[in-house]
Amino acid sequence: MILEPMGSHMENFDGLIKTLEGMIEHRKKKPTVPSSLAFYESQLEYYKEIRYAHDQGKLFVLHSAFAPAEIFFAMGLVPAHASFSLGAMAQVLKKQPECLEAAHRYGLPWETCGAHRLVVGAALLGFTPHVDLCVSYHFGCTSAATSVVNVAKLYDLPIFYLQLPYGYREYDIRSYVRQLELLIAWLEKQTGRKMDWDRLKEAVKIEKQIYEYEREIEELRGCVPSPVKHRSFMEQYQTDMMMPGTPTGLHYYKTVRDEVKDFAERGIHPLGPNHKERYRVISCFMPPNWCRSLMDWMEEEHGISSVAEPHMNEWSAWLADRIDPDKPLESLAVKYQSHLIVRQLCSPLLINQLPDTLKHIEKRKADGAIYYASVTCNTSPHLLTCLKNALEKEKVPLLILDNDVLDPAYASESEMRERVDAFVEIMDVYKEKRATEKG
Amino acid sequence: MTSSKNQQEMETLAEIREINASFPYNKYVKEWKEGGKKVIGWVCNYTPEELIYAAGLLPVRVMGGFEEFPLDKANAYFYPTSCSTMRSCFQIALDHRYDFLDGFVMGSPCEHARRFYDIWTYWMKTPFYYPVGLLFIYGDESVRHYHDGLLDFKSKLEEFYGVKITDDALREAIRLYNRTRELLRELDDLRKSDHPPISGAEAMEIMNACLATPKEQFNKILEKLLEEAKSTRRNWEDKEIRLMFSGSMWNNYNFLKFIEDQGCLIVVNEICTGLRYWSHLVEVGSAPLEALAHRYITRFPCNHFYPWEQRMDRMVETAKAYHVDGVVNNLVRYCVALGFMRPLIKERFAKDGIPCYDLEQMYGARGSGQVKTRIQAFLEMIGFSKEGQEALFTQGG
Repeated sequence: MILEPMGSHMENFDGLIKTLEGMIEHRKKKPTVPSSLAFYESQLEYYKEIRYAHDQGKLFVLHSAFAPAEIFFAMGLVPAHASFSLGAMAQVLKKQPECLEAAHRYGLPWETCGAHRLVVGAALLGFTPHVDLCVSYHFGCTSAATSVVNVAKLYDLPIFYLQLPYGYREYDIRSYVRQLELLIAWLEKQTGRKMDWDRLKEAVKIEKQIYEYEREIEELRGCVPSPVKHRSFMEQYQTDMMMPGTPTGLHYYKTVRDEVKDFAERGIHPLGPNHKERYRVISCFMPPNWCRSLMDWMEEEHGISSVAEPHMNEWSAWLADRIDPDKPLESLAVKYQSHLIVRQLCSPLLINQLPDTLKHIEKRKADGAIYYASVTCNTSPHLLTCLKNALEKEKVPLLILDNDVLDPAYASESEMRERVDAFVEIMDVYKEKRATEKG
Repeated sequence: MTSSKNQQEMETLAEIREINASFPYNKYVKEWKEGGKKVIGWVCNYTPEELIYAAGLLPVRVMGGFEEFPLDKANAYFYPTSCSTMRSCFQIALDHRYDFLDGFVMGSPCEHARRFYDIWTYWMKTPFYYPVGLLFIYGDESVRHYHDGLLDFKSKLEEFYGVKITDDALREAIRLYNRTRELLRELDDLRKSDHPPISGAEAMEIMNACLATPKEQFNKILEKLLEEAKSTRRNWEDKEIRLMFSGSMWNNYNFLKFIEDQGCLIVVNEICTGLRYWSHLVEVGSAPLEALAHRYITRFPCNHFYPWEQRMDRMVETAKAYHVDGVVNNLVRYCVALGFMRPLIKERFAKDGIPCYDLEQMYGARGSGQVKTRIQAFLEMIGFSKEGQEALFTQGG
């Protein structure tokens, strides 16, 4: 086993920070939309917090996706989302092959999700600063939870295992609240610090404001042309996961809301008044993280806007009454249970995923849907035949874009572009069919 | 059929094979249906069969094929990397062989099984569906949550089928299922001896029948089988190496026979269609739902349960109790839970000096030349190691 001490290759983490600084400089020289700059600046701040956590006497928590980071922030801990820290580093520095190779030599078979294998590989190679605590979270994705367990076992780190029960029932929420209480007790014991409940309430208050911005953004997304850049949903998704309940997250969401409102009021697309929106698509699940340029290309080359992402960002309308700063744990429990991607993974298709997808067709005037099927993902691609069938009944074509979310070796950008080219023709045929039927 | 020279097979196995030959709609299920009663298909060992049975319904496990067959129809409904076990189950459903089911219940921690549930509910016309929720963390909170889930499931069954599930009916069901577990344990205990009365493949045949047959009838067959087993002394002279078969769900006994034909005997099937099904009894006390919750959450866990040490320690204890020389850890494609745990399982066995061999294959595979070579190499390695130990012993080392 190749097990390097954590932090033995900090040049990688520094490389990530340097790359982000370069991207910010580039954005400043060639501005696009304000939210894009806000996104990269918030990312830089996030990674710098991790990099210098120990210098500032702070403890560093590695956690799975959708672990309630508000709790870590409220306790003065520095959280690091495993995929968006270790995985992102491998991706930004193009070190996926080394990390995957390390994970393979350790014994993880191809059956395990590539994105999370990358986390274990990057940890084996000592890419991250020394982790103090691990919080593993199972929200319907075994890979997200067990990759962090592997990191904890490899380095003999204290770990807490949190789990969102499968289903969508009130007793599941009650159980999750009790688990959050156990998590806090564990963190208090491990760190010797007490939970700052006022700070947690403040975080939930911020979450409520973010929720309100998010609802406003969603309301505006029915506008034609789309007031939202195609790739913007990925940035929102990432911010929501990495810095929930923080002033930085709030600033980012406010910037997005202002920007979207401005474009909607002026009736123009973020790419400018001359941009022609030709197709409006529903994006299902997560596009390859290494290839956001594909979304830019779709937008610029074919005029494809993403008008809904039913498995990524949208917050449930009913959350308005349930996020209450005076009940922070209950609020976090319902927030995380109802998060789109979580509820798609952790509840039955007929209860959430299908209605969540179909409801957008008419409201957002969708011409088609793109299903990003990450080949080693054990959760997202398995229902695509059901969705394809349901969309077909609504006369909406579906493109299944096979890819690996973090590894470009499986499907290249040019291969994916070719498939999108062909799909555009299919959407034209469907458009004609729908127009003929309408008479 | 399992056969090997110098072996005397038990006669009761013929009854088992008769049940399996008409899987899944065997004569006992047919009789049940002809009596005007309903049958519920279930997926995963965390489905509380006792509760279903106490409602006057027959729970039968939805399983894939017992042999290798093409999955051409099912493949059209799944993604290429979907679990091959679930695809096999669905292939049988698409062939209308599960049409007799009146309900479908999934009680699984596995995301592939959950997606299978979704696919089933979308495409099949089974009248009743229910997903049993569970936390797969050892501890009081999981027991409490599972208990809440049982209350919910109970009310859904009562509402849909217009029945009342009484505590007495539940206790009766618990006694019946406990009896099955006791008999299976007794039978398996005989496999700890130097001359096990059944092979690993035969044990799997017995479990396949068990999971698809009403327990009243199956317990009688088991009692007969046990009596016969106690008086049977099998000669396994060409199979000196004792193995534990571990890993993902598996039903193809021919594959176990294929492994055993390479010169070993599988003495314990540490899988969910083996020892993990019958381990731990439910306490027959005053609060049957609580007793059920406790049993289902705290028994021998599957690969999903955390902390992993709970599972790994019991795996090692089991391997020692059955005096195995090695472990075959069989990962069914695309089982992610086992995938992430595998390096640590191997390491855990290594600490106790038990060699553990990792296999990966599609569910239901009957064995290939490549697998044969790999198994032979593993057995040779164990053989060398055993010879080395004997040499040390005879030399007084």
